[in-house]
Amino acid sequence: MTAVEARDLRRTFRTRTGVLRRTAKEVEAVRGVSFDIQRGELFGLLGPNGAGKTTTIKMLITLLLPTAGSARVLGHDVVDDVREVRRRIGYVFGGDRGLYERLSALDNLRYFSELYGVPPREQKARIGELLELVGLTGRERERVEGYSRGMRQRLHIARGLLHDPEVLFLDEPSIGIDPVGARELRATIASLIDVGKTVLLTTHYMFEADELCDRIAVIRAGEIVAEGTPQHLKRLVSVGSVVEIETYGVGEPAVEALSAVAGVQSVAVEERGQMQVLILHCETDAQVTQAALARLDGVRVGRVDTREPTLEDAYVELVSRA
Amino acid sequence: MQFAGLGAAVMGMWTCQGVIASSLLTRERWAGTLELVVAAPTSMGRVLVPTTLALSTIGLYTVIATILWERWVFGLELRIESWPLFVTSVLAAALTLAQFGFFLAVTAVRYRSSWSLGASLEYPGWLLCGFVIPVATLPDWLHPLSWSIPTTWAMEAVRESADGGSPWRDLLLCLLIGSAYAVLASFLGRQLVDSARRHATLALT
Ligand SMILES: Nc1ncnc2c1ncn2[C@@H]1O[C@H](COP(=O)(O)OP(=O)(O)O)[C@@H](O)[C@H]1O
Ligand SMILES: [Mg+2]
Repeated sequence: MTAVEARDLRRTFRTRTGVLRRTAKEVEAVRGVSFDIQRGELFGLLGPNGAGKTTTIKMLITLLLPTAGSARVLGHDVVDDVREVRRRIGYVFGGDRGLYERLSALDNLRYFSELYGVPPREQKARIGELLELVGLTGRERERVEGYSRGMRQRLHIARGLLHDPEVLFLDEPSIGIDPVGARELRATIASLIDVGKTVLLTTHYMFEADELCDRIAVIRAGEIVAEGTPQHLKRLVSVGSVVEIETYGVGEPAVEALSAVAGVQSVAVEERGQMQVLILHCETDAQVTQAALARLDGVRVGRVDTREPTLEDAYVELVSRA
Repeated sequence: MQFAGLGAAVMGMWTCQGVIASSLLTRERWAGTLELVVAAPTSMGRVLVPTTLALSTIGLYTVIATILWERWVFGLELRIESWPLFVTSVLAAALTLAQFGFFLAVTAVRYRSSWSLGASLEYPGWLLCGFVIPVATLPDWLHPLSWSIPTTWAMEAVRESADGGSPWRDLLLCLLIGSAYAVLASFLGRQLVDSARRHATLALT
């Protein structure tokens, strides 16, 4: 059964600038987004900043009215059946806002339990379980203002799960968390699927989407440019293989010479400290390594590596297509 | 002196409610919690009324504190003819102020700057509600404005019961007008949340 369905969702924002001479400007944040998420699925909305991820989520969780199009969550319309939708969904966003700083974690959770109508008799047990799940047991009586960024995010997740929602919307939950914290967070998100929840996750980290998501939609400038499983997306792009060459002091002429090698689609240079890493996107079955190295005559070359295209390569290609 | 003494007692309650109630949701917006509160399946009224009632409770404390200060520091002994009626009137003032505060608070869902409404009502309210001078001495065109605030009637009821008169007509009016604000606010609450969803004013960005 479909948990979330979006049909041609659109949203424009009107912004005004200037106090005396007010000039109105229209921003088309989302322009015709459609997708379906099945129950129990972890669906990723992947896109760069400003692509319209948050705007899409806010329409689905009833915080923004769509300018056009429609959406249903568990069969309930997000414009007409607001209460029904709100009771069944949880919403967690990244960043350290959205908590009552001067209250303890426990009081934050108690307050939101009230807002979500969790029966008083169940509250204590439920909050205890969730604190355990997100690893905040023992710290729950401290004020949130003293919490680290990662603790806040985990508290956010506990808050989003208080009323045991069937569908969870996670908007860039790992933003600004250190790598260890982010890994724990990914484990927590993965465990939500194990207990049968449906999750819509937005992120701009490819590896996160690759690791977690069953299906991914890549969104760019308010439009979905590709959709499918991570493997499917990797195949979508025309890159057959990627050759990475570490060099020291490579010049512009050498890079241009490399682009001319038969079988090479594009060359990108990535600065890594002293080193420049040349990233060659190659056609399928093209053997370019020898030819490429020949053109780098006189340049100091380090490690040379041939690998499969990653989701990141696919993503970069998808969002940078004109 | 009796006039000013009673006025000062209710004035604290008014200031406490008006200023804080109208900035309640603005503060939630700054903290990023307004969206979460709206996204919950609870109506604005269930969130805001308990808070404005709590503000009124603090308001009751200011009434008592003012009366005690007047007695001990300023040597002003208020003459209260009927304590039961006086206490009833003060409680009615607190209740209807909570209803009025709900109305002020709910406007902030839609309008980011509506906290200034409450702040700008503070001092005019002192005159309009008859805390410092009798409403009758205000220009005629201001009278309807005074009468539309429940606290004006609550203040009247407080004065009547202190002076040994009958506060019942004023109490009735004050409760009616206060409830009208509460009903209007819960209706308006829904409209304003919808409008905020249309105009994207729930978050700061
Ligand atoms: N409330 C708003 N008012 C005006 N423009 C907005 C508002 N919210 C988002 N936008 C604009 O809409 C676009 C999409 O934003 P957003 O959905 O936040 O992107 P993402 O979450 O993918 O980074 C951006 O250009 C952003 O500036
Ligand atoms: Mg965003």
